[in-house]
Amino acid sequence: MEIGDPTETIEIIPDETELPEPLREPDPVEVPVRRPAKPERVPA
Amino acid sequence: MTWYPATSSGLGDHEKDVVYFDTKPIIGWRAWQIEFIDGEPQSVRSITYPLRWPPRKIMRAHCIFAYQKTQREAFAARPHHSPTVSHSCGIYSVKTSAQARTWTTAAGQQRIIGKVALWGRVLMYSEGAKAEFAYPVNFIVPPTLKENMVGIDHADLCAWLENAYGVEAHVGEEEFIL
Repeated sequence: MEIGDPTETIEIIPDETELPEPLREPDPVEVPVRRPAKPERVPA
Repeated sequence: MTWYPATSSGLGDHEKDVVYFDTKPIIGWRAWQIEFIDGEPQSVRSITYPLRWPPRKIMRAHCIFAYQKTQREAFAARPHHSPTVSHSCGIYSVKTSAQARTWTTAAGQQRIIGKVALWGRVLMYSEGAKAEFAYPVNFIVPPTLKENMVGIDHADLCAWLENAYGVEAHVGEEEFIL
């Protein structure tokens, strides 16, 4: 393949948002925290 | 193909000067070959060396000469970064769709073109670039690609490309006007 003559070298460290979409980490999904119900107090 | 002689350091003089840094991938154009097994598309591959581009993973350049028993073995014995000016290895791209289109004319092969994002160490050339990391941005299927040759119609091929690689694919028109 002919791509001509070398001109310059670049070092590219992309932000994740600049990468093609399939390579980006999915946004974290917020999972609602489910707390166990407090046991009802039984009167003595 | 241009062959640049290696220097004693394994790096060309040009490469001793990393000119600048950036955070945005460069967008170029290239061609791929579609791999079919039993009439079903499996992957897209590079055209000079049929290396598979992994779906949804980064394509990374490495010098495959290290694995070949050829007259160039002496060069391969010296580990080097890919890409380098001193050797032809690297992920190739060109500047325009018209240039990429010239890579689709090989007889008997199912080739497509598209934009490609390039990053890492990127060597810029007057007509294109060679990069360390890459991933397709989109795929464009030539309208002249014979459906009976690939065993799948254009729409299904585009749908497979989109599903497998997660990028847009369409049948090109303006990109293939001579």
